[in-house]
Amino acid sequence: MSITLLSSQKAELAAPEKVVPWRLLSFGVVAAPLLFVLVFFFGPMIWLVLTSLSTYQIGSVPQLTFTIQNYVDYLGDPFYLVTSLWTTVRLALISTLFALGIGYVIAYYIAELPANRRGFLTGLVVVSLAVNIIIRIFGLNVLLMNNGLLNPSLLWLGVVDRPLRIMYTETGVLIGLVQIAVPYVVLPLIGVLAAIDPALKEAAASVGASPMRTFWNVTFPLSIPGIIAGSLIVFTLNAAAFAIPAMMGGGRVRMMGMLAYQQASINGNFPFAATVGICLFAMSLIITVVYLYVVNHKFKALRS
Amino acid sequence: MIGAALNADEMAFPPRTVTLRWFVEALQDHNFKLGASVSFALAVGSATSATLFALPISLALRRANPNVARMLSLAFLGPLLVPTIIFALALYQTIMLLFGATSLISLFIGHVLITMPFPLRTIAAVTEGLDPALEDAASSVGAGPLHTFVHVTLPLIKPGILAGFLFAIITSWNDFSISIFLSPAEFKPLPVQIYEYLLYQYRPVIAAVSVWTMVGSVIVIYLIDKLVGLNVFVGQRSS
Repeated sequence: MSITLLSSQKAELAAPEKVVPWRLLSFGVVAAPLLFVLVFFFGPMIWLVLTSLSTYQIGSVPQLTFTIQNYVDYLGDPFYLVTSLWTTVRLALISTLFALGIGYVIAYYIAELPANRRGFLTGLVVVSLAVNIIIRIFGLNVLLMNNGLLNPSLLWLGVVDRPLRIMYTETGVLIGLVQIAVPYVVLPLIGVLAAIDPALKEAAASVGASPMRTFWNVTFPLSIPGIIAGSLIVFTLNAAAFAIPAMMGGGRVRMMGMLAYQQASINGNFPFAATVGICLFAMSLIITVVYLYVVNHKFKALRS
Repeated sequence: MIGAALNADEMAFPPRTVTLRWFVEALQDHNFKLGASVSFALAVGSATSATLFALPISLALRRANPNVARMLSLAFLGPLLVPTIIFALALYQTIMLLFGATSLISLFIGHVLITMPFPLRTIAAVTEGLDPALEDAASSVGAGPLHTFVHVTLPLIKPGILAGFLFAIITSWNDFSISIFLSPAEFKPLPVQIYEYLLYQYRPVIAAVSVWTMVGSVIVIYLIDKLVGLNVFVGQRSS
């Protein structure tokens, strides 16, 4: 009998006088966060879209004119297309590939360890994620600058005869992006790789497959979900990178996030900054959707 | 990595003269102390609020009809899908228009929004595996809704709450994009503090500050490891 009652009815049976405040309370605790998100997230985002459709006026509030001039200015200008849009896409894609490669090796190594010895290395990865991004990039700065750790060592070893210029170049930004991204690849992959049943690998080995073959035919296909998850996180993160180009590129490598910041905070040109921001969002969304579509297609092709 | 590079008079490698002076100076610097306090208070405050906000939502999602639930969870995960720098720009613009200046409150709002998706996801992951019969059983023996919640639901979802809270703290502590747009001039979080310092000068103090911060992070991670285990950070959660 009591099983068929709704929980609210049961609550009434249990404590009739408490029902109304409880309902009010449960409505309130759901509605308050919802209102918060609507006001402070969706509000500003819609406002940003409207701003991108406004006209910039020096020293006053942008005038909403529903113009697409900002988009024409940004997307129609070969200078911006090359120095910001293309730079962003290229750096984000290349850094994702590097981060995946490096992260996969690290994750594979950790996952192959016996469970009780994984902790320390996993801890190191988590710590590197928990140290502030500015500090991590600063560490890289110290390493790569002209009189940093790398160049004197290379000179001393005779590998190069002049200091390499890495800081404030695209290579520097790329190194920064990869370094920051690696932990984001490693963590999901450790989970996926460690969850693979060792019996599968043993089975492959017992029918005579070499370790290489076992890896490519058993381990790797099973880890694809982790690769997809990691690469999506890293790509969106790096496409929107801001601190890294700011510190490693010294303002010379204008990735879109950086450009939006410069336009907003230095020039005060909010309409243009908003336009760059929305193009960035659209770009990473489109690439994500295409990527997922291709991956799904590949999967279907593999199965059939 | 940084550790090696701080014992110099000027920033140079290898260090010419080794000194621990900078480590002491870093701890005495008013700006850095203030920055660290702001960052810490912000991380704890916004992670707590985000978790408190996320808790009822994720519980409500479980009981709501699937379409509503999907809409709601998408709405709350929104801040995770939009690149932080863009959201920071949008919020900054709105705050400037409404209040004319950034303040600790605007910074706090930004941080709550970017940290909220984490507890929401981790709590939702735990509640999915929760058997509603347990709560029904409690109320059928006469426990009030509050009593049921405190004594049955809460202990069951505790791992999710804890993991979400920790993720939220780390996200807030690591944030740079929101902070650089929204922090008020008199209360700058540590990352913004360091960034602006580096724009003008390049002295070993920064390295020393960085090392102290890293020591702090290591201690926090160590505590997390001892308390809940690092598995919360790896793909699958052990709950």
